[in-house]
Amino acid sequence: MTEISPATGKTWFMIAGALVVGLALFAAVMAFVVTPLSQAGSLGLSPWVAVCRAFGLSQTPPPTRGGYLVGTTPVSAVVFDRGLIERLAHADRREGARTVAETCAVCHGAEGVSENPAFPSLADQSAAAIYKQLSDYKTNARINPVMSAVVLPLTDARMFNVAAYLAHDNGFAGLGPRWPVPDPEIIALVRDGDPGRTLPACESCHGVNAGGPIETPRLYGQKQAYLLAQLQAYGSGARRNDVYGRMRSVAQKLTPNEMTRLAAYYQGLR
Amino acid sequence: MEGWPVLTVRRLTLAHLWVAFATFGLAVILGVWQMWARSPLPAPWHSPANYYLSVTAHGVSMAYVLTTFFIMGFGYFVAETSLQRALPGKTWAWLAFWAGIVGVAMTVASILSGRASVLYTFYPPMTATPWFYIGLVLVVGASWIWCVLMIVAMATWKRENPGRPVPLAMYATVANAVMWLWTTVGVAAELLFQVIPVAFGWTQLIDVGLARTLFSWTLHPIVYFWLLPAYVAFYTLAPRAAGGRLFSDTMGRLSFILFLLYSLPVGLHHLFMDPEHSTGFKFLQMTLTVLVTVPTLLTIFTVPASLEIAGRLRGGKGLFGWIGALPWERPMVLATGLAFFMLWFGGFGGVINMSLAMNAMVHNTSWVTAHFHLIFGGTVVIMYFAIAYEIWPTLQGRAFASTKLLNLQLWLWAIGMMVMTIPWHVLGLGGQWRRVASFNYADPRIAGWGPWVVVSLIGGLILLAAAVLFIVNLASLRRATIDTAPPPFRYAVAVHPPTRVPAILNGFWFWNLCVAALMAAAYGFPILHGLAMHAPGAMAHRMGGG
Ligand code: HEC
Ligand code: HEC
Ligand code: HEM
Ligand SMILES: [Cu+2]
Repeated sequence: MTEISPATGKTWFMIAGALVVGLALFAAVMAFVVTPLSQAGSLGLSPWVAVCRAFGLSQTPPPTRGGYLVGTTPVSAVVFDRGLIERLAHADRREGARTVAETCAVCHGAEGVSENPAFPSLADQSAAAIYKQLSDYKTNARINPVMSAVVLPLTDARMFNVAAYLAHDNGFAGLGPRWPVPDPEIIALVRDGDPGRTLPACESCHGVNAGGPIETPRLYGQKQAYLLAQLQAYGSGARRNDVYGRMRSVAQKLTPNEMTRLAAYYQGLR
Repeated sequence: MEGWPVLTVRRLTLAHLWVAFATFGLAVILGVWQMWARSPLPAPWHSPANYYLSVTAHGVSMAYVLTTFFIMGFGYFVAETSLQRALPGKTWAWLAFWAGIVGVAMTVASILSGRASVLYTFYPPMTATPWFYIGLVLVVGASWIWCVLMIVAMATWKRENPGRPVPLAMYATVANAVMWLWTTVGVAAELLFQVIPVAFGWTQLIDVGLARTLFSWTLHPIVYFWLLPAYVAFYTLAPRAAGGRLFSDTMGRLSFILFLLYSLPVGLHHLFMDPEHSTGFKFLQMTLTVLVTVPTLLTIFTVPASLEIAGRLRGGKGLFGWIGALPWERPMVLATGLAFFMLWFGGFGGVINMSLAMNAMVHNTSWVTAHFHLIFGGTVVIMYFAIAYEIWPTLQGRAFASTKLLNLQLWLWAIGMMVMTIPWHVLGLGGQWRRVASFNYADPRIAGWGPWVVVSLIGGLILLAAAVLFIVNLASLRRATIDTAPPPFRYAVAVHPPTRVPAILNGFWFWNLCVAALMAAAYGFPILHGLAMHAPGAMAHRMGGG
């Protein structure tokens, strides 16, 4: 058995180490010096800023050429961050119950179970959905002569309280499934959408636990007339507070006939 | 020349390989259905929910189950046959096997429940039921036990054989095990610290940029983890099967080391279009990615050179005459030829993908799916078939009566793969999106895609036929009556069999230091910077049932 002399062994390690480090250094110099510097001129950046940007460190705005601004008015001022979710979770439901009884019950029914087809039921709606809509009325992201006036005196804290109260299961027959309407075409649309029209399934967002956007409202058991009015409003663009135009893009692809039947389906029988 | 006389890992290897191939067989059926669903022909059970369920099941089966179980099973076989020494720690190996089975069962059940259609790349903030991820963690945990067993087997052998070079097949297998330990750090961190807490509902928000970064840490080397067994076959099985010798043992070692080094610090090339990293680090990792071509070129030189030796020994003359003289009727030789053919096309596509600027053209299009089906489904999987054909006689103690059906199967697979992926590439260049459940071919802007997808579907059907034939071929050996025990299993001998190699090419500690340094340089700053910035979290998007 011939032993490898320790000297040659060491030499190999030195050479290999130098090669690995050398190649990495070459890549780094290309990435952080040569490329940024060669591009700095045409972008009008100082060399220092160019190198910082290569590291992701510079906060300078992106260089503009021909400069144009995209309209940035948000469709809604509500941002569901950790703070907001925690405030919703710890809201004062008792205070909320008082507000509902005093102000809202006239139209939305005692305990938020509406008797009037034009007024949506609110009991058992999701808290995030209620809060978002109230806030949107307040910031004029969603406009309705009645509701826009109703929310004016409401503070943010009271909107949280109302939302938390209505969403809580208070034991009333609020939103939720009814006897199903036997309409196979609409059921297919609700469950599977229509890929041919790139129309997503309603339930992919509105289904319980479907994982849709947090503000997605519950639809089952909602008033038919109200649902239809909303679909029409999204379709025409009269209602435009849905983030990313999610509902507008859906409603625009629905036929008037489908809207009517969808509204009937979601209200359910009895 | 005596082989290792008693194979003690027979059942262990067979168990792993059957799990791998059974999963593969089912996943191929899903693949064909997906192609059908994407085509203009009306497919049964077609709905977006079913499509994503199917793609998740197909991707997880092919990428995680087939590969991991195959690699573990083949690794045990190599450890015993190349070191000619019983595998240490067989109880652990069986424990790992059963842990993996439990993991797969949990994962499959989660997917079938409809609560885990998050695709095999997880894509947070999409969130599956926690059992989906926990099942996969179990599979990874099982593979870690395998890694330790491979390392221990080599270390024990080295202690017993001081100064002798570790046989190339084992050295390469351990290189893969070491690489896999590094590789899985990223995805394990993502799952344990980010995704699983969200899946349990302990937190609602997830830092998607960080999650994607950690996944990218894993995403490139994982494909080399899948690929290396194919390279083991190129270097240590194909030359012998062709009747020649390995051109250079040193080149082999060097290739495997370079794969270990440069498959890890390059994963950001999967995030070129992502906003969370600076161009500098993308450029850096792109440059390091280019270095992976070195071991590939070494292989493209060494393996054909070894085959050329065989061809000339068999009387092949002239510049190309040796190619015709090769024993193409032997499955290992045929598969190597077909694998190299597909590697050319796939490699070309890969060069486009890894170029920071050109990536924008093909990002998230069918081009990408076509590319990895060609390299992974093509080159890699055809070598898995060839390896199975090569070692099955030893495992079952019976020889194949004829190789006709084996070769037919390999041809079908290669032809099917080309028929499927060429149109698929074209579609990608045309802008067809990947991971889309269906297309509205009534839209004149994309109506032209229809025929191409139908051709791909035909390719898929050919692949399905090849997959069925593969299972039939293996099963036929189980029941074959000819009991001529095959000769002991042997690996290719090098032209100059190494009697000693420098320590640097006989172990891994130095290369591990290099990997640590490269990973720190490539990922250290991006990860720390991301953590320091406190990026806003994204709301978990939970997958519903039914
Ligand atoms: C005078 C009648 C009236 C009163 C009082 C009233 N609402 Fe409304 N509310 C309406 C009408 C009408 C609509 C439908 C508006 C539209 O189409 O935009 C509505 C819509 C809403 C919506 C949107 C529902 C959805 O599903 O998007 C919420 C939330 C709401 N009201 C909450 C309240 C709360 C809370 C109060 C008490 C503080 C209240 N409303 C008081 C008439 C009223
Ligand atoms: C991509 C997710 C998504 C899909 C798919 C979707 N919706 Fe919606 N939908 C929403 C969200 C989010 C809102 C709340 C928008 C807002 O903030 O104003 C909404 C609101 C609505 C509303 C208004 C409810 C109210 O209480 O004001 C109706 C009605 C509705 N959707 C019906 C449908 C129907 C019918 C379908 C299927 C054809 C559908 N949606 C598909 C996400 C979706
Ligand atoms: C009959 C053979 C096969 C067919 C017809 C097929 C088809 C498909 C299709 C249509 C998709 C979905 C693409 C998309 O939605 O963008 C897919 C995804 C995938 N395939 Fe295959 N495939 C086959 C074999 C294989 C093999 C052999 C492998 C690897 C071993 C493989 C690995 C994958 C992976 C990892 C994905 C996941 C893609 C993702 O999540 O986007 N497939 N396959
Ligand atoms: Cu990669």
